[in-house]
Amino acid sequence: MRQLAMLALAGFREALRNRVTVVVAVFAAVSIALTSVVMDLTVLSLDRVVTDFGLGVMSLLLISLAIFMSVAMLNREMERRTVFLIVSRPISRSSFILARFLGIMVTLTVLLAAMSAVYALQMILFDVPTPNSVPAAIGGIWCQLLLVCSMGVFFSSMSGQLTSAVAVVGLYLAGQWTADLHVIALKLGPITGAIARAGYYVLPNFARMDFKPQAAAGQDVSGLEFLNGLGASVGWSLLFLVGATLMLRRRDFK
Amino acid sequence: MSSSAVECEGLSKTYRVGFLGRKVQALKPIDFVVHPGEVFGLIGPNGAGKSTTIKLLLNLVLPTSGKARLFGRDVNEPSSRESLGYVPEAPVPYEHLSGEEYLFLQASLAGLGGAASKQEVARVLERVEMKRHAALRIRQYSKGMTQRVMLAGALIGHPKLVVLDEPTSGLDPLGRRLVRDLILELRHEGTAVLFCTHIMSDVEMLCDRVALLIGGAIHKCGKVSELVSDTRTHEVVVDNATREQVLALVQVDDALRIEVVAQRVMLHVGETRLQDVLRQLLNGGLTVSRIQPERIPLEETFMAALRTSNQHGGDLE
Repeated sequence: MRQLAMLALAGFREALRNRVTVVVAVFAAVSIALTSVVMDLTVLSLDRVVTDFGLGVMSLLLISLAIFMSVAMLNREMERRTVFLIVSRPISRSSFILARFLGIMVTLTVLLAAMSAVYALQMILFDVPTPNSVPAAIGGIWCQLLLVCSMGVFFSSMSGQLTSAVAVVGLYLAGQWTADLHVIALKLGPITGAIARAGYYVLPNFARMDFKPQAAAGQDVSGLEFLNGLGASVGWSLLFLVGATLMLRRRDFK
Repeated sequence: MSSSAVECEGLSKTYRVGFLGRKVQALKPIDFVVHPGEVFGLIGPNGAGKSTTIKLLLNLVLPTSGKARLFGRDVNEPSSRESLGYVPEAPVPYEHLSGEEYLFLQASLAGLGGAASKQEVARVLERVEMKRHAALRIRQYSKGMTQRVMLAGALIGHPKLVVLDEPTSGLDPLGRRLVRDLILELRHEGTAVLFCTHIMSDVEMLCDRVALLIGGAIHKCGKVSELVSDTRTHEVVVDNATREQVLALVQVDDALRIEVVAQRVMLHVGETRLQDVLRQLLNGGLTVSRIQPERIPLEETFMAALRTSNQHGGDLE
């Protein structure tokens, strides 16, 4: 357990020292600057713009970072041969990959917390009311990060950085419209409909973890809805991590 | 409990490379044993399979056939590496960490914590003479300093087996001396050391036994004294003489070659003719300014083995 914690901590420390915290500053600057610009252009209410825009920027920056960090992690360790120094110790490959995954998640969680603080400050600054769906939307972003990260680790356990990044981005985008596949399936022929229906069941549904629309509209999110999203995220993540472990067991560290 | 630190039985590795998965046999089935307290050297040209052998022993790559055990445990089991220290070739450790932080990470991976960890990190830093620079980030270290920290990491927890892949490459004479002293010290403490290198003088000086790998197979394996060749050649340098003057005194044959460099005539003389040739040159009034063995014996064995096998290495590395 201590080994896992120390490895995860080393990953977090690496992210901090590589100045990943700059992302928070970028978020603050972009969010505040663009909110002001969009406010001049939009016909929507100030509350909605501030709520929607902040959550959107936060989600976009962190999901991009999660993809970048997770697909690069294993390949970078192999390129720099740092993996040799870890796996040559009495530590299993599954523990290694789990520790590195935890390291990335700790980093992303801290960044999400910091961004949320900036976001809250912005809400206070613009005097925008905060419905309960805002914390739920932030929790939803965390669920999406968990899933994206595990997908990145899974794909990088069997392929290079670019292939992994393409696969994760593809799955992420497809996962945004999974719910639509079910509707589309009803309007298609038997074969194409079956394919669309299979896609609906096979692809992770990111929309279940996305509470940003409710937050922007000022609607509440029920506890059950949130747990549903959290459960889907944790379930899929476990599946991807088990897959990554199985893949890594057969992989040579050349 | 096995009495061997390392055991390999029919261990082989075939990589699949390229888009079509072309097979490249990096290591043909090999067998060898390393005993506790023994310094065992793996030597061979690039691509001979030295690093692959080490990676198989550390479970970094998976064998195509055969078995490898550390202290009687299959290398698949993480517990087989409980008493192991390793320094890879040209390591690039976590550069964002300081030397001390890296060693604390290694100590925790070795199962140490709290006061034991602190004590151990201080001990190994002292041993590799890096205490003064322990707080600096590794990215600020020179190559030699990085290698010292890597060595310190391998010494953490008093391992019973230390595996070193080209440990002296890129080190200055002081660093090389430190590594040599460390290896001798480890042997004295009863630790088995397995290392691969291209530096034959290190092998001769340090190793109890050696395996010569060529083309992915063990060409020769045994004590250094058993592997060295009996024939030696010497380089004899004659100053201020011409080729003709030298040829008038000595006869060129298989055991003697002549070349002229600047104002010097260099003779490459076999061990059997050396005394005769020296006498002839000196009696003929020429000045011999230098005599030195051309190659150390193990290097000759190495080169001869390469020539006879007609192989230099695999397609990899």
